[in-house]
Amino acid sequence: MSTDAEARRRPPRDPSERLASTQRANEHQREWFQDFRRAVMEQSAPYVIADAVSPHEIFHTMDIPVLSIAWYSAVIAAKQLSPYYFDLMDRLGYHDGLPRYGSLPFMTTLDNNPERAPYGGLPKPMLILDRLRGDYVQRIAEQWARAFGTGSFVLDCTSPVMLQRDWFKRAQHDWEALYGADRLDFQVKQLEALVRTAETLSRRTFDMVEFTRQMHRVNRAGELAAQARDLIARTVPAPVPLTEQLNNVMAATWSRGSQWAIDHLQFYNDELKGLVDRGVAACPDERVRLLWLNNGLWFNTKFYRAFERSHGAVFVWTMYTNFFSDGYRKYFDHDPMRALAARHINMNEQLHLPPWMADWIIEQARDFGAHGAVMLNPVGDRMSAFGVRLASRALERAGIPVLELTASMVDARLWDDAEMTERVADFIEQRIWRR
Amino acid sequence: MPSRPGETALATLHRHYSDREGEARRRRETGQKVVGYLSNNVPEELILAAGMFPVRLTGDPRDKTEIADIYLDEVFDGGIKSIFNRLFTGHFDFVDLVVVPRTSEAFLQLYYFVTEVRRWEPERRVPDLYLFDFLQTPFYLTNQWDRSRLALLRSRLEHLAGDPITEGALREAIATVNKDRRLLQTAAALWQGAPSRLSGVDALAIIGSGWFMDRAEHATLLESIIEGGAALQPRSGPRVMIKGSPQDNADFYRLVEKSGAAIVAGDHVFGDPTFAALVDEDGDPIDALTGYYQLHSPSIRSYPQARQDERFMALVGSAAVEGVVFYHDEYDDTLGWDYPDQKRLLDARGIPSLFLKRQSYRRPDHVAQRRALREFLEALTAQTVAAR
Ligand code: SF4
Ligand code: SF4
Repeated sequence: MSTDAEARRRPPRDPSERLASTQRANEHQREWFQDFRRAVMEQSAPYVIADAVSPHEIFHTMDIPVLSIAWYSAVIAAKQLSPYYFDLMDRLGYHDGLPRYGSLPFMTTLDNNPERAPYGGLPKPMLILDRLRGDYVQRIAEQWARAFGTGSFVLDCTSPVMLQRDWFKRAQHDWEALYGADRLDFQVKQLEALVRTAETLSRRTFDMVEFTRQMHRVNRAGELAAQARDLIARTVPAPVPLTEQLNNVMAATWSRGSQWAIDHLQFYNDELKGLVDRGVAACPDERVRLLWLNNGLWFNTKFYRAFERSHGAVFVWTMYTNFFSDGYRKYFDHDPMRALAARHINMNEQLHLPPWMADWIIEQARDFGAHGAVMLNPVGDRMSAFGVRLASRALERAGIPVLELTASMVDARLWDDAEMTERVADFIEQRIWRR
Repeated sequence: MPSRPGETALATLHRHYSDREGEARRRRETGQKVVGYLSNNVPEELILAAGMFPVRLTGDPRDKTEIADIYLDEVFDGGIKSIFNRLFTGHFDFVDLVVVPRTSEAFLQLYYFVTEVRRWEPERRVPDLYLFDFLQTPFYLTNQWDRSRLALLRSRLEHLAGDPITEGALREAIATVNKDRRLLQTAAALWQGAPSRLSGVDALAIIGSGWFMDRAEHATLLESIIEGGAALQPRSGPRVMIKGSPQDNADFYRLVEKSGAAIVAGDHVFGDPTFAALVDEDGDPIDALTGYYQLHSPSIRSYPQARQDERFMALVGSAAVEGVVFYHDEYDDTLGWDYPDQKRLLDARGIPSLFLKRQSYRRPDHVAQRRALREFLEALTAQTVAAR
């Protein structure tokens, strides 16, 4: 406790120093993974491997850990292990045009070398859970489950006939009308089937009281994420760089529903407020505020800070800043299962499809006072590349200059740092400074 | 437009296969309503039963894609870009409605992009689109959902036709299309059988023309082809299957057969799997259609893959395939996942295969294709000669 209080009192000495919250978030993730391995490896406790945008809440309620595929992929990439696994993919006949981000964890299983895989690799899960957004995740789930000798559960995806405007204003309270009753009915049935499957496999019972508590806590944590986002949006210069936002909000997202997530986001908010009160800034000389659009540049988060000194340009927003607060919060009176159904039913559309993607981003650009946006156009990941062109056009039409950077999200080998830096610098000089 | 004097049944089918919109336009001119649809996952039986003319809409690699290039990302499938462009340039002005099934990510995206881009291009006239939110996981819950989607599609079609679809009309439509599928199964012996007597290019046209013309008439023409089948000359060359991305035109088939192979089967959504199963004619027609389109109408989302691979290997066996050419589209992010397993299954049976990955829809590298095929076919011929 005393260290928390100290941390809050003491401003970072230089902007590259990480927040105490960030250190705690990272520590929490590390501990979580160690506990997870102990429980699963030593006590044969059940766990689930799941797509990032799937209902982890069901397993959290049953005290069954969930390993998020996107999170483990990011860990592999951060440990610079992706080149090894990409070579393995080539050798196994999965060609170089296939989406690689979500498949790295699958490759650690096919590689079957615990010494090489981060944290000793993934043990056999009780289940692999996937939402069938695109056409290929079911293939990976099927083959992966076979390699483990376990089962997979797929949640099929219905689609709205109309993407109604302003989803981000309606998604928290008005979700029944936004997503449609028949789609929600079907999604609830799928979730109930998942609950029953989880109960059968784990020999545990799904506790409705605990589930309801968790669903309320997700909403509470979402409110705190929104509070932090608002503070950063209106504070010029921005108190923290993007890297700090990412760690804190993502850790809470993975642990959503826990008291830890609430406590952590409270701590993060307090720390942010302390910085703002003392006038601490990521870049005191801030002159340009930028949005980072589409997926994160996980192997090179330093890039987000590369234009602070040279151009006074700070990345202030990315979808992870407030997707938790805008996309995850679902308020409900009496039916938390329906609220959970609403949570994941359109996540992909909200982040990637026209007009939802652009509508939301334009709103964020205004709130954050952004001068421009850099959009990652991911190579070899079509699901995240769909919509980039139209979203860029929509932003430009709304008066927000956009630079598209075509790059891989995971493959560091394909990143030319000098060239990319020059392109962003050029963009700031030509399209923002000259306005 | 009946068969022209002196025109063989096969020539008539080829004519309909190349003039894909001709019949639909003629129908429209006579006052019949025309409903366009994508893929083979839309129940054409419902459209027929509503007294309208169903026509499958396809793209063309020779098309310009000037509107698509403004709005669609590079990574969209070439066929989808072409369809998108056609929707915005009046190419499909003869349809009263376009039914887009949610049976691939590409179709779903096409639907949303068209819906959005309409607002950007208000002066262009684009046909009405209907999203048929149909799913293909093989589960009871999915079946219930699909049944409700079929009911919605039915009322949309009834509204368009101005008349309810009667059970009698529905049963008749099912019987009509089933009869045609059954005849295709019989006719398939002419290319799948040993000896093979019809080329893969012919097979594509024989199968494909059914989507662009009157089904009953298609069946009649099939009967005459089947009748004259025994008189056709046996073909030579290694027996090859084409597998993978949609072959929505005959260009690649032609190139393969010019290289000396005999294509005896095509395992893709414009090929042999499209007539492999029938709609149940005994039970409730809506249930029967739901079950058929959920489980048996081939699509990229057919699930699980292990079952699809069994079907694939069964076709390899029944058509006595000697070599398989995998052909995957430039931006394919899906079929590539299936390839290692499929290759392993073929290897286990000693069947050689060639993998043409990342092939461009609009500008395929014919030189490279020819070279790869030549090498593959030489090796294949040597192997089959040695085996015989
Ligand atoms: S950011 Fe997009 S691609 Fe990534 S997990 Fe979320 S929805 Fe999927
Ligand atoms: S098939 Fe013809 S009349 Fe028809 S529909 Fe065509 S040749 Fe006629």
